[in-house]
Amino acid sequence: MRILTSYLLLSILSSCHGLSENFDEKLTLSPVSKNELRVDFRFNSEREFNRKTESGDYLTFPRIIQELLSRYSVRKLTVTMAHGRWNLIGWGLPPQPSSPTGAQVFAEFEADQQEDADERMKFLVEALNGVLCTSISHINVITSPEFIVLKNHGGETSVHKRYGVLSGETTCTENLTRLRKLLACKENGISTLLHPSKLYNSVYHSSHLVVEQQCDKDQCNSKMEVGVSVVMRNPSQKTQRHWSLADVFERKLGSQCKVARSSKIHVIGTTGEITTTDVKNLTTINGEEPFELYIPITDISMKQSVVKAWSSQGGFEQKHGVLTVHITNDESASEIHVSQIIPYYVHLRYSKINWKCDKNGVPRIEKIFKNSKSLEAPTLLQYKMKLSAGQTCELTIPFDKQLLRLEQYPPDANHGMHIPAASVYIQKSTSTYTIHSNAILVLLPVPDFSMPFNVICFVATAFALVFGPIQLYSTLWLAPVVKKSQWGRKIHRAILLAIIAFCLYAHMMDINLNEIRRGIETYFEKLNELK
Amino acid sequence: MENLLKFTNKKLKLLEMALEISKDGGTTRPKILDKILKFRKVALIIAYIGAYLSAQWLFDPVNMEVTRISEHSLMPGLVTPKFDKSGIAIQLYRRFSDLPKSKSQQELIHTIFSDLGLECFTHKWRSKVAGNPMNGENVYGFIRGPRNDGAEAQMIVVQLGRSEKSRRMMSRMLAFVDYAKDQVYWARDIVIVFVDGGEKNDSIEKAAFALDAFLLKYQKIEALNSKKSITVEADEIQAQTGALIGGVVYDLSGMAVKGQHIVNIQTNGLNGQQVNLDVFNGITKIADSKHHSRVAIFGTLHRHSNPYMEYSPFIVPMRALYTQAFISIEGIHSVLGKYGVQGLTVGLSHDYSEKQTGQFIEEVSRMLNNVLERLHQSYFMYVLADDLHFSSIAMYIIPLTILVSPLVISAYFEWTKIQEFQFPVVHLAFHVLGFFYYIATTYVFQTIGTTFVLQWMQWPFVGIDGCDGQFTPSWSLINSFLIFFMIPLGPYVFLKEPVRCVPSMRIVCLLETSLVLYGICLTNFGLAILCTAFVVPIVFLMTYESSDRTRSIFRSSVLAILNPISVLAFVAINIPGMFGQLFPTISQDSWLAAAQSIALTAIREDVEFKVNHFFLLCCFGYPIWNMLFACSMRYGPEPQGSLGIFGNGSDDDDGDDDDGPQKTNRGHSTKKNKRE
Repeated sequence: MRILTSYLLLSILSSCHGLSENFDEKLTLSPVSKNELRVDFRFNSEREFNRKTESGDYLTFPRIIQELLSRYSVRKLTVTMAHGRWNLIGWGLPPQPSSPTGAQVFAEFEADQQEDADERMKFLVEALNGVLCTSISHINVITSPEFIVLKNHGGETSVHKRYGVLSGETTCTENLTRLRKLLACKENGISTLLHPSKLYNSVYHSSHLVVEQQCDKDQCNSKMEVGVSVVMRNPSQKTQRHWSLADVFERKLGSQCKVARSSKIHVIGTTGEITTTDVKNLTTINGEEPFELYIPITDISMKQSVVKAWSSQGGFEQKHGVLTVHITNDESASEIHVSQIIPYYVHLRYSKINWKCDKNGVPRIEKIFKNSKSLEAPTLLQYKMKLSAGQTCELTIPFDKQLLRLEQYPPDANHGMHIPAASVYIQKSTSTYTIHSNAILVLLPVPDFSMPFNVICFVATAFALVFGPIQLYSTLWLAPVVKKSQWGRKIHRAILLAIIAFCLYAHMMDINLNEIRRGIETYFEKLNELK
Repeated sequence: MENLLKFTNKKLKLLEMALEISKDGGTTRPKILDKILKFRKVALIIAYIGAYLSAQWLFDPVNMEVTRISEHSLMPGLVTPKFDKSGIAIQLYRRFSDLPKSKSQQELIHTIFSDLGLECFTHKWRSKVAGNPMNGENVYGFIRGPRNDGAEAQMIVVQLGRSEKSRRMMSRMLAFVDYAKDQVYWARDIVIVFVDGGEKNDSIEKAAFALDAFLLKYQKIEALNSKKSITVEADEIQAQTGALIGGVVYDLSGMAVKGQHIVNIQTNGLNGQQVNLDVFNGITKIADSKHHSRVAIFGTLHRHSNPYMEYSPFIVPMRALYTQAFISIEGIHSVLGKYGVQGLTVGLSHDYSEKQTGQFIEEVSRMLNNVLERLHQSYFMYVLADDLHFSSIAMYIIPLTILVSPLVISAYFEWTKIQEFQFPVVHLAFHVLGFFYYIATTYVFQTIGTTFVLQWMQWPFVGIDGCDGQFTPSWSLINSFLIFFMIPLGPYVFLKEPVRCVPSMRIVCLLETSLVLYGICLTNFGLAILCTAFVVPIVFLMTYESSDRTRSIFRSSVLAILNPISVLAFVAINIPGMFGQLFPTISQDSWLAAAQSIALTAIREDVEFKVNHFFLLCCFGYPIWNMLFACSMRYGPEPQGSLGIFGNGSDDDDGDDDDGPQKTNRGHSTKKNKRE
């Protein structure tokens, strides 16, 4: 009662400053097969405030998120982390925003220049590392995807969009702990069911943070959604007619979130009917008499048909390979937007990229290629097309693998490096959603020092290079010669010194041969223009 | 005063002088090389003795390296097997046994996979090789690791078949699939391929071809090269997982003697490729520590663990070399290396229970599931002495180097004598001819078959029997090839048009042979060392200077008999008693049948699997053999001004009485002659 009174007082105080905050929590439990249960947690916070009169008080909305939005002028931000593979055939539509395996960041910035947005993205990623306890600093960030990549990041053009995926990033309990800290109720209500050891002992796990801020003059509205989606396999580990919350989470719901505007648990039945339990209305719930709920073991009969996408790779050599993205449409016509990020460590063979489709052949395709400008920036391929019902299309992307610099290899270089999953945005007359294919692992050429033969070759070469001159010069003798004209020698030395200096400069400034070539080409072009 | 001025000027001049580094001693050849040349005549004998002694020391298991697991994550001791679906395996075995002939095994496997809720597809393939037509239908399915992203996979291969062992293996594998699909710990997907090898004797080769067809499509080689395969036509893969980290082929070829289980492991791939030693070690450890089974390699047990037979410690290394050299398709796994997959065949004991088999597969799969990086830590080039000892390339290359050294010494000797090097054009011509034989033979085998006719109507002028424009009777490809290949063209060419600079030809022959042997050694040590044992004495003796006409005629006649195919046929007929039969289909008492079998096998394996035996035979064996006639037929000194002239007194030093350039005085211009 004391807590409630204090919340009420705070609310009254807040409303005096034009501030209003709401918090909603929702848990959806839907069996996807007789042995598998899908669990979706959604926690939504909303904050309306006036920029001028804001006092800096935060009731349910996390202050750190508001600071991120304000500091980096973020209009909209989506961060997802997923582990496992969403079974499109068995489980239907994936949770939205769809998450590829690993981490994904999509941000929209208000900025005057592209460079400002780039810089803000860089700092935002670092800030997210702190907020969510991730390590996504080396994420492959793409500048402004033109077609839609994620459902909630539509075609708004007035903002600067930045999109990046990091397939190798793993998600763990640390991330969940940090997400939980963003909630208004960390210890009460539905969030008590966020039991890490149960949620991570599942076949699929994804979590997301979606933040949005819209301002009309000084009146602003910030929204945040924290979501966790899990597919568990036979949570009870025993044959029975129903699963209870205790079976699923190894915990019972023992308290309510007092500050929540709504707190609901949905259970999806056999034919898709929803049974809703409003936790706020439960009067008996407390630590001694926890709330229990039973979920019928069933297979959902009305599975939603979805477009399917999967990626595969070909080629086993260290020189080149091929990435293939397969897309199969469902029973109705759809417009699809395919986005594929290609990291810098493979070079595309643009002339060999092609689409193959069955049925009516390849439809009309709009495409956008965004080449990497800097050394380690990825390339983005985007396609927009309309597929007829049941049509299957295959995008083939041949590439050459690169021998990288020593410092560019990860410590486990022989594990290979990922090419992120393709993102497929589907637009139908009735709905829109995004799915992701799977990432592929590219085995890059790596100098392998574990083979004794290689070691012998390298050591022998190094020894010959080092010992040869020493032996030579130590067995030679010095003879006096008359000094002659040495202009030629001086010029020669000067040239050599210039080359060495240039090499050192190029190394220090990370200039690669292509940049030098481009520079020379530009120089010659300028000369031609002068003529 | 003047003197003082002169002295001062001189001092000043000296000060103006710079110091420059100059060579001391000029360009004199190191004396040690001259000393080596003195041993040239006995180099061959010394090399043979040295190679024998070094090999005896190196290939004795006592002196070999002990196998160890380099990739710690492969430690099989960490896995506690829990496979418990023996009942399912027995039920499935009954279903396979009761399978009516109207229903194929492929259909049954497809049904079982569907019942388990797993993806399963069939994969029809057909060989486009006219000389060996065959077709079949593979079945493949996937166990998707639910918590991985499908970026990596491991492969399990089982051969289809109606024999009791095949039925048992398939049913046990499917029981394992049933078990594995429920496990959540798979960091990699599992691709299970049932390959169609037919029921005949050549089923292993057909099954290997079937797996080759599957991998060709799985690895998208056609999409990568933008052209269709010329050897196989197969269905596209309908579903796929990630990069294959390793593959294991299972069968029940192992055995049990008095309750002691023996697991048979095969490691050899195509062209001398071998599986990463870590995989072999891991499986050996599993067999030993978890199942108390012995491991047999090349059909032989560790001699210390074999209570039934006493044999030499060198028998396994010798078999390893022999198998690596000549048995291209040792098992179905042999083609895995061609597609970058580390694979081997595990022949489980046929007395293993269903549970034990399932647990063995589980342990191996979980071992490969744990690999952190692609298999690169351990050795790829090794010779096994038993399941615990091996010799690495750094060691076994020593005897080969010693054996090849007489050729290098001879080449150097010729180089010291020669004044003017003339590259023999005929050298190039013989290589082109050899390459033409290679291209023509493989083309005919690939597109027409084992018999062909000549035709006028269209290009190319060869066709099948009964084609339009046929103007010759049908000829056997193998016999035609043998006739062309075994007729020594060298004597005719070199009698008609003698080589102007024989020392140049000698140098080229010696160096090319050395380089080819050393090059082969880097991929296929077995082939290299066995070839070296036969080739080095032939090349050394045939390139040795001769002043005696009778001797030249005799050695040229011997050389004519020592055709590469003749030598191989000799080996194939005489060695089987010791190492097992080289070509199972040949009749042991017929030399011609052996030669035909060798040629057919080499051509077929070249076309179907890209085994390089036939290429080496045509493009290096044939030209070198023919060019040796130019050296062997030559006797006495060469005409003056056209060939080698002794550059220094080394001819005096080596005391070579047979050379006789000084004695015969038929044009050799020696230093001594010059002085005269």
